[in-house]
Amino acid sequence: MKPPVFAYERPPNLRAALDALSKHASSAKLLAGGQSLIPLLNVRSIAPGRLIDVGRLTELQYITEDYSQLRIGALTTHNSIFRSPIVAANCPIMVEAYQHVANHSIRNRGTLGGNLCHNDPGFEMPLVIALVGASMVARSARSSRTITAKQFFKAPFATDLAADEMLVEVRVPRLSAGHGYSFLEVSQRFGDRALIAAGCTLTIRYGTCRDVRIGICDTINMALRVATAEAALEGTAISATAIETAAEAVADTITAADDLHADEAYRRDVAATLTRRMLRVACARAGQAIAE
Amino acid sequence: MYELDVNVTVNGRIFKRRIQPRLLLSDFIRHEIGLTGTHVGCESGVCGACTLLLDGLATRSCCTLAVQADGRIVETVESLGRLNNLSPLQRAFWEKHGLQCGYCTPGMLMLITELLRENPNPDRETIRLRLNDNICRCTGYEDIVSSVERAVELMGVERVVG
Repeated sequence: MKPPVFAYERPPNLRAALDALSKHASSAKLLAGGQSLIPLLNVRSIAPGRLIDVGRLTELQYITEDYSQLRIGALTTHNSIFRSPIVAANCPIMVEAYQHVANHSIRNRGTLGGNLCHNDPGFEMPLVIALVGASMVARSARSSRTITAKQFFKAPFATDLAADEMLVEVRVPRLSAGHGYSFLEVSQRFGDRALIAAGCTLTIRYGTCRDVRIGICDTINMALRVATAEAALEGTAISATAIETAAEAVADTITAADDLHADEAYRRDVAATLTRRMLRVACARAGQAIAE
Repeated sequence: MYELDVNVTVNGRIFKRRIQPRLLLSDFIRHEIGLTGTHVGCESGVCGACTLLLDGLATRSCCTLAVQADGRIVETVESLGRLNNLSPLQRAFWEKHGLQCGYCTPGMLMLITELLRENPNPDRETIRLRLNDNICRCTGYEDIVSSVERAVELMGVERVVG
């Protein structure tokens, strides 16, 4: 089908975009790369009265290093981040996860900010953002605020942003040296929507797991950290048994989706298997290989 | 009706049109410019048949508004070659039977045009990974991969011969 009728404007800078958004907050949608928005318009799932095209605001297209974090402009495209040496050096789990984000052509135009604001529960980036503890900077014509990942991702397809607020920057903490990480995904075909995506980060000090973070995304429910699995490993001596305990905790805790692509039991099984695999990879990267 | 003016460079020529902002780039190219080589498959970003290059980057024209191409450079399959003068990439698809019904072919060609510009010597795995973007319903993937490998050879020879 074709998109419904809408008014269109392309403000020349961020200030003008925020003014336009504040003026038309109730009826307008921001257009960034359009890789989620335009398909939704094509099938007429949504019919905004106005699109405010921010896709050309180069002032929000950047990746810079701060002392302890990366600052990524909300309108930076996926492929710019995927191919960035700065991101590879400071947040390698993001690059690993990007292999699974849509496909190359969509990554050419899609933006990190647009992806996070859409908050599709099948998306990998909200999971990564939640795992690494990134924060989101939102601006409106009247104010600016920083939002934690936990607060930002409200529910599937919903964020904490007010109607007149725009996500302008994502602040990603550096993964410090010695951290292990892994991101794995199972889908029916490579590049398809995940059945289960899973990510983790951890360090190992004197054989003991520290700062363990484990996240699972089942494509229907919102991506989440699995506190029980994290607690099962935190402060324990790393071993095959400890990994097995964490995998069981994942299987016992998550509410897995049940649909025509995979039933709930299968998804739980996949989540546990990916947890075992990714923890082994992360431990090896943190300097301690664990035998099967 | 709410309309606005756009200027889009398509295959080296500037086209000025007055359009509705809801017009998709795929429809702009086909209906306003009259270049029907760009095919429309799913119109929801799944199949890749409508892939063209926007400022040099492979782009799904059904997931792009024509207004987003205002002031920019579009390259379509018509920029590659002619029936009596195929480009090396098109010739390779012909030689290696990289198409059956041909519906997905323009999208495949433009997707691979971008790949070969950034990497003139991709290995088979790299080619397969990139072809993951687009769907061929005749399931001729093996021959498409071989076609791209053949194009790499032909273009290599062309570079040496000059």
